[in-house]
Amino acid sequence: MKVENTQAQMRKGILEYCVLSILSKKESYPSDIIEELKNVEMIVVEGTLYPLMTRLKNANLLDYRWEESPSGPPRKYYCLTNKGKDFLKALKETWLTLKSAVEQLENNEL
Amino acid sequence: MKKTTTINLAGMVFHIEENGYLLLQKYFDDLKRVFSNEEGLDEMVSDIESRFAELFHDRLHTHKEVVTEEDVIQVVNIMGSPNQYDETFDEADTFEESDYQSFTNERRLYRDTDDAVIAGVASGTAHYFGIDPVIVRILWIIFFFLGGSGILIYIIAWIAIPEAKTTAQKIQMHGKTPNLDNFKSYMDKATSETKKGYDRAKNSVEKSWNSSQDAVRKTTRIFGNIFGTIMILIGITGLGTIGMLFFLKFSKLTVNNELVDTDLSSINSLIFVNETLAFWLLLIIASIPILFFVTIGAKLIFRQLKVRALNWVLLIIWFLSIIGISILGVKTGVDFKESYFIEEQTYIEDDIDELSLYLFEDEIEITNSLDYEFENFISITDDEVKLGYINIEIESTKDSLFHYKVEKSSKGNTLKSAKTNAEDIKVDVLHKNGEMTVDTRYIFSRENRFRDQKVKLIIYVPIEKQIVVNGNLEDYPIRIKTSRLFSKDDVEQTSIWKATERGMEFVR
Repeated sequence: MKVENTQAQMRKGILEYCVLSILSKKESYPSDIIEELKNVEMIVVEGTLYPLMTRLKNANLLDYRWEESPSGPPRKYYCLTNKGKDFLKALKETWLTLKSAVEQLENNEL
Repeated sequence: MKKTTTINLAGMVFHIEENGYLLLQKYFDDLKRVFSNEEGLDEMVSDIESRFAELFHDRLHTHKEVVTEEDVIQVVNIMGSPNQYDETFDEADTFEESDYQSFTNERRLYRDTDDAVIAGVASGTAHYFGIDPVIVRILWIIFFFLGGSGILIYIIAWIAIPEAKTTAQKIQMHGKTPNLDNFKSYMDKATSETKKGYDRAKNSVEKSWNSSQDAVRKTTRIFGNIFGTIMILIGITGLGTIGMLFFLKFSKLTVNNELVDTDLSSINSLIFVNETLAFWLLLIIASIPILFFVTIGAKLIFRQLKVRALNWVLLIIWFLSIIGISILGVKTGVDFKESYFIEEQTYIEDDIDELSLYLFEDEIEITNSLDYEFENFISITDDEVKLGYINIEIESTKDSLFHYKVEKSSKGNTLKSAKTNAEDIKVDVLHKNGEMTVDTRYIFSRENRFRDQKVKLIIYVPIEKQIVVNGNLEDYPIRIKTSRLFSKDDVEQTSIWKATERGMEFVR
């Protein structure tokens, strides 16, 4: 049993929720999302995001459009679909439940 | 000064150092392999390419126009190696994921197809135990010779042990945890391999891995060279022998402990229906195992030699030849389906009390089996086959006259052809003035091929009359129907037999 594995498992569940939350605020392209996730230390390596984005898009939770970049390659801007919004809503409820559950348990222990 | 190459990444042109390019290429190859089961893989890969392009772009400016190897390493570090992506994956999503998650310092057993003679079982096993592949190969060879079961074990190992396909697996095969450092060291190795030859890279890697084992390695190398030389010599001798057997006309050849007055290709043409095809198939079947021997020997000496593809081709040809010869065998077997049997009875009208039997072979009388060892079991001329030996039986008869019966039998694919074959057999039995001479060999035409032609001569002796069996017929297929058990000693020299109601009796 390794602590890294458990940490990865914990992040794994929350990461989808985080990505959907970022996109619910504004349309973003992967580098923006990476930036935000990195700032809050949600991801270790950038590559992690890509399979996740592909899967969310394949599940019709995300849509995208192309935009020319002033420098560098054209950018793919992602936004939430209606299905994605519902999905996020459900996740949010769960997250809040989990959060309060963990807090309650920790407090009880004290 | 470093060589650069140009790549197109997400529609942008980059000049990139060749080493960096190779590293990048490897990265995307691995990525595709790790996510090979992922839906929308191409799209994901192109998104990741975009990100690479962006990160490379950030690193270039007016005074730096080339993406260096260092840049690639930095960007790969930022992106993480493909196996690190898996953090967000369901466990069932990709089967290769487990390979990446379970990376530990432990070695894993893989087949090393980069350094393979056949399927890389030996080199893979060697990596697993951290020893030189030469040792394992020699053990395998010894194994093959101690019993054929070695071949079966090799095939099972071949099926059971997975091939090291990805770089990560290759590194793990050598007992290292795959991380970017040795990922790169492997890449370096691969690069210089293409540039400066496999040997140098291998030496440098071996040195850095374990310099203390140099002495051991040298010893095994010498050992391998000696063994390899022996194998090549045996192989070449073997090929020479096969060549002689197949192409030279030998006057004598040993088949089933019998000396045969013919050569292999004649024997072959005597049995198989498509003789030329059968000849070449047999030649291939006999030579390929020996060629294997030579290639394995060569691999033991020249380790950088790539013999795998060649051995595969040889193996396939070998199996096809075996299938071919089996089909010919079945076709030939059909020719033995029907059998036909002819008998001719002849009475000896002369008024004699004693019949003297003389056996001849090529007009030479058989007098002593010690002098004459029934050597010419078969001899083949351009249109005739002489085959030995006529079975002889002697029994008593209530008839008043001596008589004998010649029974000829043969096989064929139809009754008609079996009959033709049987009728074609020529037997030379003569009698005159109480003497009977028998040519112990019978003749049939070569175009009929060998279809189990057999001849039996039965001599009937009237009761109270005698037969003299001349010469030492100890080794001859002769059967005398006696009232008591027949002993071979009785025919060791010229013997006289008397017919009684109960059968033949030994007189002296």
